Amino acid sequence: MTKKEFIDLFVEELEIENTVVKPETQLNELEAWDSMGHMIVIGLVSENFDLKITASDLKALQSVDDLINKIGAEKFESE
Amino acid sequence: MNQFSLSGKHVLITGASSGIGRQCAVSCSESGATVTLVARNTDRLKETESQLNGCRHFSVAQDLSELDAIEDVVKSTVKKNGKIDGFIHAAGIEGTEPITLLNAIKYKSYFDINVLAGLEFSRFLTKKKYCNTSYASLVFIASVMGTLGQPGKIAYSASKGALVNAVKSMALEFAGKNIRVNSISPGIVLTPMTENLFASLDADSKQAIINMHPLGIGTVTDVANACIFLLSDAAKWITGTNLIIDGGYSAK
Ligand SMILES: NC(=O)c1ccc[n+]([C@@H]2O[C@H](COP(=O)([O-])OP(=O)(O)OC[C@H]3O[C@@H](n4cnc5c(N)ncnc54)[C@H](OP(=O)(O)O)[C@@H]3O)[C@@H](O)[C@H]2O)c1
Repeated sequence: MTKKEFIDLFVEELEIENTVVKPETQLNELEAWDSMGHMIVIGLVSENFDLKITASDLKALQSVDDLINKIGAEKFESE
Repeated sequence: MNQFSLSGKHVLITGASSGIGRQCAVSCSESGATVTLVARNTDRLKETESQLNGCRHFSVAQDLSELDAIEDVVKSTVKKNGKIDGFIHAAGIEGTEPITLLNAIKYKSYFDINVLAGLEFSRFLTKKKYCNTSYASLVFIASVMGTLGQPGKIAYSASKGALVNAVKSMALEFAGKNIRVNSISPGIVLTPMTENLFASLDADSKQAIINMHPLGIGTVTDVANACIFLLSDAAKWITGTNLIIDGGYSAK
């Protein structure tokens, strides 16, 4: 999965409609970034990267790019 | 004779390689039962066997999502250790997945092990050739999530709710054979399953879950003791019920 594909999946699953999500987007500015949103992202990351992240890991993140780095930038295919 | 004893009874236990099922096996053996253990992991089954009281016990390593294999498990168990007097279905899987990440295949994997494997055991265990029908007793480990809800638990709750209600119809269907059927619905009990869950939570969320249980979270023996009661002749007039063991979680 490329970073762009991941962001598209993130937007699709969190049903973000009014914001263009980019790597620098601040997670706390997204309405969908609540406990249900965290649960969805934990599931997405577990399914696609076989990696367990916790809600407290997610709460510590600032931007979408931080999330990508938390997963591990090297795990994404190049565009 | 002590009405609460399992002396002379043969009890088949699924999920006996870990957590609640393992403790049920140990406690049943301490109460005098011969136990047959079923789960996938051979090493962990052996470890359970090493903790049992007595020596006639026996393990069957079987993936219970292979539903077609269940009759053979029952057959070989009866051949080895005689007809069955008691059954505990403690094998199960749990998960936290919001609906957007669920799909038919995933629902089916919860149902296969949590519900269908248990029902297939009932189909065979209730046959006269496999079961001692004077006071036989079947116990299904459901969950408080079978009657209550929580975000992320749709698949798990659906499977446990199915179990709680299937038990009632089974109780009626098998009453003529003197076979009792009940479920137990635990709140959070410390086991490898919940350690997994707790590992994914921050300290505050973990404390919040503990605080939801007025008597604190439970231990595997709290559940195993209730299983012994339901399997014993002391419970001979109890069928079709769901015994909630949750330290007060659902009293609120
Ligand atoms: N712990 C709790 O707080 C809690 C609360 C309410 C209800 N429950 C219920 O209590 C039961 C036991 O839970 P636990 O906490 O003891 O869990 P656990 O420690 O994870 O044990 C689960 C058991 O199920 C067996 N199992 C899972 N999938 C299987 C499969 N495909 N085939 C055969 N065996 C399988 C496992 O054995 P192998 O891996 O060796 O196959 C293991 O022995 C479950 O039904 C659970 O839903 C637990």
